[in-house]
Amino acid sequence: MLTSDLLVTKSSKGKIEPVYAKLDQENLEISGSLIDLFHEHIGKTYGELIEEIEGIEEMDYRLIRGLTQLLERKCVIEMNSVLEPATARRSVFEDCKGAVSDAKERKEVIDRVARKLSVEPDAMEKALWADMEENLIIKEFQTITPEALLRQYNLSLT
Amino acid sequence: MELSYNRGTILIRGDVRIPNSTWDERSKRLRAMALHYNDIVDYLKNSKVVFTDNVLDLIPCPELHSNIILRDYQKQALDAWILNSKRGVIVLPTGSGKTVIGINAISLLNTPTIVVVPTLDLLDQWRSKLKEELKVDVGKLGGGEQEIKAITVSTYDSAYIHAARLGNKFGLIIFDEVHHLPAESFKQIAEIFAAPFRMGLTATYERDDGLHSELNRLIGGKVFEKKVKDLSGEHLSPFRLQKIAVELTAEEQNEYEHNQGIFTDYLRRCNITIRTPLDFQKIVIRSGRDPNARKALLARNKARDIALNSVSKLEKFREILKKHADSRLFIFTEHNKLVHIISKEFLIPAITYRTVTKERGEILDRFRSGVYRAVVTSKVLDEGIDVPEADVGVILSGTGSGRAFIQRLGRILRKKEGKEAVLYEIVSADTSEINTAKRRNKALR
Repeated sequence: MLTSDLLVTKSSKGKIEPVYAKLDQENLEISGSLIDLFHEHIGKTYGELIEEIEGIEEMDYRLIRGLTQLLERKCVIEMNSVLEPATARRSVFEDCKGAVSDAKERKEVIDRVARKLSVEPDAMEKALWADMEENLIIKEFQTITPEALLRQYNLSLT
Repeated sequence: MELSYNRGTILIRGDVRIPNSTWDERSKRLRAMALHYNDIVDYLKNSKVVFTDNVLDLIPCPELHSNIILRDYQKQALDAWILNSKRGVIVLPTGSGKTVIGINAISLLNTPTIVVVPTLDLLDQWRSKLKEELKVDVGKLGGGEQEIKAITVSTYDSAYIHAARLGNKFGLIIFDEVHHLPAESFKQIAEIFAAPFRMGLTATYERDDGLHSELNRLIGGKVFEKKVKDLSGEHLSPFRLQKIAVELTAEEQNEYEHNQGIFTDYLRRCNITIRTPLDFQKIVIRSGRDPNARKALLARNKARDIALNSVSKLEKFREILKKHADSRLFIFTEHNKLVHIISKEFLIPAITYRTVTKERGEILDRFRSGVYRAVVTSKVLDEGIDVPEADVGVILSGTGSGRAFIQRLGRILRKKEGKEAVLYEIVSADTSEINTAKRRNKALR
């Protein structure tokens, strides 16, 4: 099943029918390059992956988003952080009383809290927003052939 | 002649022609929407028809008392409502104590009451306030719970689902944020409940789609209204609105014009003018089929993002932050991306629709107690969450809808001794955002 905004349909004589993706060269290429993109982004963030996909979705955005939705279900996504993000945020906001007005002050706050929690400032910075969707890490991806993906896509249009 | 309640309708046994009723072939009776209960009783009494009335089956109700002393405009509002046969809508700005008026009406009528609210946050607020003032147990309908008491607070969704079953159990029904009621499904709540006494509360009576005219029929129309400017100074703290237009950087300006150009070209080619959000929606729908519409839309989003996230805007914001180092700041922007950028750059606690309830509650508590001096947020606080006082507000963007604006404005207008609140509105000069700001200000007048 796909979310309804991605369904492709045509209506004739009062009937609504799905428009299936042909298993032709062009679609197989699109399907294949998406699978490659997912492969390349194992270990990287979900946000980076989506950005790349948005770059190419002009070609046929409903097909590409539909395929993406199916591929996302084959991923294991996890949070990459040494600290619990909500805790990290609380400590930082507490330290700065909920606002800093320049970069220097900001760095001092991050460094001070990092020291207090015994982590590197970089890790601290990362931990702050690690629970946002775009910062989640793709840990595993279970692969599929381009043809099988298109078949699965057609099935989920029905 | 007998009247009874049957799953959301009034069943009429007897052979008098009654206005608003229709013949129901199946039950061989006249039926009318429960909404018309009051009118029917009036009609029968005026026509001197003898009848038994079995419609209401009220929940047993303890004696209700409250010791709240109303401010004069609250008293006026309540009087106006009483004069209108205890029906109608009271329009007052956020922060002016609408809840208090509702509670007073309940204790005055001393009758079982259901309060209908749009969000779970409001549900909790009403319940604790009712418990505190009336010293009774308060039922809860919504958020997975179904506890019906003489005084019950419900969400619109749950009230809609359970309306047919509960429609004759309450003498008074109060709709908070009543501008939600005219929606296609929700308006049935008002139609199915027989409660003869009805009160609507809101800060913004008008709906963009004009459906507020339905409220006349459903509740009884507007009986009282005061605007922010009528109350500020006296009951709400005075505030100063300061609009700041910032220039985009040259690079941003080019990029903006390029993208905006793609969008306006498309509009011109297809002969579309955008006057209302609905026109815009049409393009969104077209973009599903027409690749050019999609391109135009993406370009417009890009242009909007540029105007929104302009470096100069953030710099302006930095100045305000420095200038008001001892103040408590509430920052609004409708765009989650910008909320995140501000939170990240200025280490300001952020609340978006994704923030879990626990963290949101904690941030607001800490803002209230002074641990944090600033909060940045997007839409989620539009309605109902009891936001702590702040003396400086900053708006970084918005939809241009009058309603959202007034309600946000209300947040920083809580009265505090000898304090002048400032509301900054930062917009980009020479972009379509100026129009948004204009549209917004219109709602204030």
